[in-house]
Amino acid sequence: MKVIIDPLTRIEGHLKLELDLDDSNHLVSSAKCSATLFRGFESIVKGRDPRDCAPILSAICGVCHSDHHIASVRAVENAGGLLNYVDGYNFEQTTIPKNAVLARNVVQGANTVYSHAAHLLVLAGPDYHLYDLLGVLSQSVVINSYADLLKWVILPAQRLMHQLITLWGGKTPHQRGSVPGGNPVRPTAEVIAQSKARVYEFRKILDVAAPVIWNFLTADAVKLSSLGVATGNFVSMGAFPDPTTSAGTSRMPLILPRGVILSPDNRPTSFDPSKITEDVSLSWYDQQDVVPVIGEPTPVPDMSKSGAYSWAKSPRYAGKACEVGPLSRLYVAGIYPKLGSVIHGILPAVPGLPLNPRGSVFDRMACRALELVALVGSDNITPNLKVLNMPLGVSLVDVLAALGLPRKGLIETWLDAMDVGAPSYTPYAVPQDAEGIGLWEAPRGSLFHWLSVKSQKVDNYQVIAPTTWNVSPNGPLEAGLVGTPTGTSGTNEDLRMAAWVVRSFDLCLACTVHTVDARGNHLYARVNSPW
Amino acid sequence: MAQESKVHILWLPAAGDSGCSISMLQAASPDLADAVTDLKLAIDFWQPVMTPDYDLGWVSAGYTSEDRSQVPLMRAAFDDSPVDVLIVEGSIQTGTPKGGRMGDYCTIGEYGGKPRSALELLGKLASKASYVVALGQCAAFGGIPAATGNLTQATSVVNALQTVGVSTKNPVINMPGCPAHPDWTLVTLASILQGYAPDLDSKGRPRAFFERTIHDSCPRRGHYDKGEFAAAFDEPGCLWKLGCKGPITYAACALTKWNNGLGFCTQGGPMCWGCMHESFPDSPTSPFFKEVESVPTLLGLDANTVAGIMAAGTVVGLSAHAISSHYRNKKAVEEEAKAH
Repeated sequence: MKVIIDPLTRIEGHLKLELDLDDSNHLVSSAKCSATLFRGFESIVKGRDPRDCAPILSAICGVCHSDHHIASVRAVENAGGLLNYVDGYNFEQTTIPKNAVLARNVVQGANTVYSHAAHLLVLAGPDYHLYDLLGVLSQSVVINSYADLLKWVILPAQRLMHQLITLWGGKTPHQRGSVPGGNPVRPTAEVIAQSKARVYEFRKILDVAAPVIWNFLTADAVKLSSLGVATGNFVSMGAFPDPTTSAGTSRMPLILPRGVILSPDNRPTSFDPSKITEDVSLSWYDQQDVVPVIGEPTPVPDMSKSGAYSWAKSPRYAGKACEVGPLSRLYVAGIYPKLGSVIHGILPAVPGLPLNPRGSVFDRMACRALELVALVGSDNITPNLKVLNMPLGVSLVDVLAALGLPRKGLIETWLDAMDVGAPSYTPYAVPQDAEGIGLWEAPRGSLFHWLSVKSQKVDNYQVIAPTTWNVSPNGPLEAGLVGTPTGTSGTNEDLRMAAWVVRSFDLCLACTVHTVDARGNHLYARVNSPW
Repeated sequence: MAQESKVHILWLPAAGDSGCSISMLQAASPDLADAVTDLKLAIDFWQPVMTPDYDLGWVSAGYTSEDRSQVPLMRAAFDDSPVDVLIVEGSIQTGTPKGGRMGDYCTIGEYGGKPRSALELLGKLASKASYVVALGQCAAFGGIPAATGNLTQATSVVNALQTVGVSTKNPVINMPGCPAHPDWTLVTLASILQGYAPDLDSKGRPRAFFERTIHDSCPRRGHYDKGEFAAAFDEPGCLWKLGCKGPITYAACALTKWNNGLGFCTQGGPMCWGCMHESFPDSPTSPFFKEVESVPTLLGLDANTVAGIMAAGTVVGLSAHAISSHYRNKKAVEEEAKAH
């Protein structure tokens, strides 16, 4: 039986999901995901001043509303020689002031916190009836319903993170604070204090919510780690350059490093952008071949192409379909496996993390929660964390210590590292002819911007957004859906687990279809998953 | 939710990025939850933030009892479900992709076995709604998807309705901005739901929020009056020469600010990008890093001339303001006359 869910709600953007169900075994036998909006950003920025790209490409997504802006600014800085990748792509050197590097980290951190919290509570949370658990979140107000939770917890909490971005970017959504050369705000004691107050307020909420969410997810870890098992290939393009080492801005390590994990070898290797290709063989474009994304011409749509069934292109790393997102970041960084060994040390019966080395619903959700705590920090010293309903006897503060992460959270360490009153901007000159790459991590995963400049104008611009990796034809989401159990009740509940799988990727379709896609037409090719 | 409430709101997601939806969550006084409760809103369809009642979206006809004809968006468009306020987020693409139909660059669900484009749904819903709100720059003026170089013939709600020959019961309310300002939007919504006809300017914007330029009320205005221009984005001084579009952008950002009044693009941001200007992101808002040369409110005097005059004598400066203020009033009267 074929089932179509269109549009799937509580994700960003326009997604149509078509599932073939195996009626005798009650599982998903094949899956096809179509994004249903095409806007065509690359052709809009062509011919413009390179500096003008960021405020335009910012609107690729209004949910990850800071990320495309910063990624584009970084690509333009790379083209102009202000940002350079060192030791392959493992370190960064920049001539923009340290304050600007830190301010971008703060903005990106705040955006990630809000996005993860929104996913756990608003987008995916209702699937797990998570809102029933969170009456504890307000000490002063009785939470009786989802509406109460929205009013008294979720809306105020996400506003705090947007306010934090506004302090460093002017307004949000769509802070357009960064410009090639730096940031507009010279840190003052006042703006740092205003920022910290918001982190502190959020931390108070998270200290109550995080153990509840963690214990809830890990209680069901066995089931959730068997769902949504994808390709086992992971890419992280690296986030949060650290200008506070003795090398300053001349050789910045990344707090969440760049790297790639390719199944079956589960160890991270160095990232190399020249290995990224886009496969358009199944896509409605006039190209036939797999082409490197660097220098790729913007393809012309062609729905008459034989064998094609989607507008979505398929980004590949070393020819492989890879997953991106918080799991990829914390897996590549070694932080998530390290948490696994901490847990294993306490409860030897529990296997290490990731619970499923090829990724799963559980691993994705757990990493989203873990990243939240890493960014915001914790003051919670109550040893209330559990796994599989078994007490671990450790607190959030203990977890941060065991992982070598600062108790006050990464965002506050960046605020503390700023030089009050010192510049945050250095002049930028548009290069005559150049190329630039902007590697960055949005909440939902790796962000790749590349441009070439000719006669000081944009000649070519290519973007690969996180969700494009995840929902591409034959990509991780389609692979993760195959084999998902379905029910026999004949109601929507039958597809509950499939919805868990889809939403575990925290999809953002606006990003995905910056260049691609119209809609599921009726040329449905059956996807026979190779995995 | 829907049963007890009286005002039926539908949120049509067209060619946009959901930024305006996220912006509405930032509303502070009232916040979105209070607005929904106090205004007795029934938000029948709002894709990113559906309540758990509709948490699977919906599933194809024949599979479950909840077939797609039950979906609020389609019921409103094709059946007799009421629509009091239609909020459109995103621009409307009127182009025809090769091998597709007009408007097919954006489709939202299926009805009667066929994918339905944002353009088609807009036509159905807009003629039915008491009020249509074009929320955000894309819906109000076309915005970024409609910029030079776009392949989809994206355009504003008003233009798209004209293209398909659909008229509305009341003039479309344009709330420009990338994103739309949440407080302005909720206040406007509250006033129309209390029965006040919106006071719109010639561009369909609520006059109260789009009457003066950002430059008029900018906190850096004192620097401009003294001829102090910033040479770098992290310095004090008027940002005009760095490319600020505050002088040509009519919006109340500098007065109400954003995110609980914490800042806006010349206070925390590098400069005004002109995101509420009808031409954004094309000329004259871009090139963004190029100074605005000719500003009607200054009668063609450019920043250098004005700064020179300011430095030469305050009296002349004051009279320049008086002239610009007079000009603006006259212009408003003319626009008013043109609109009627």
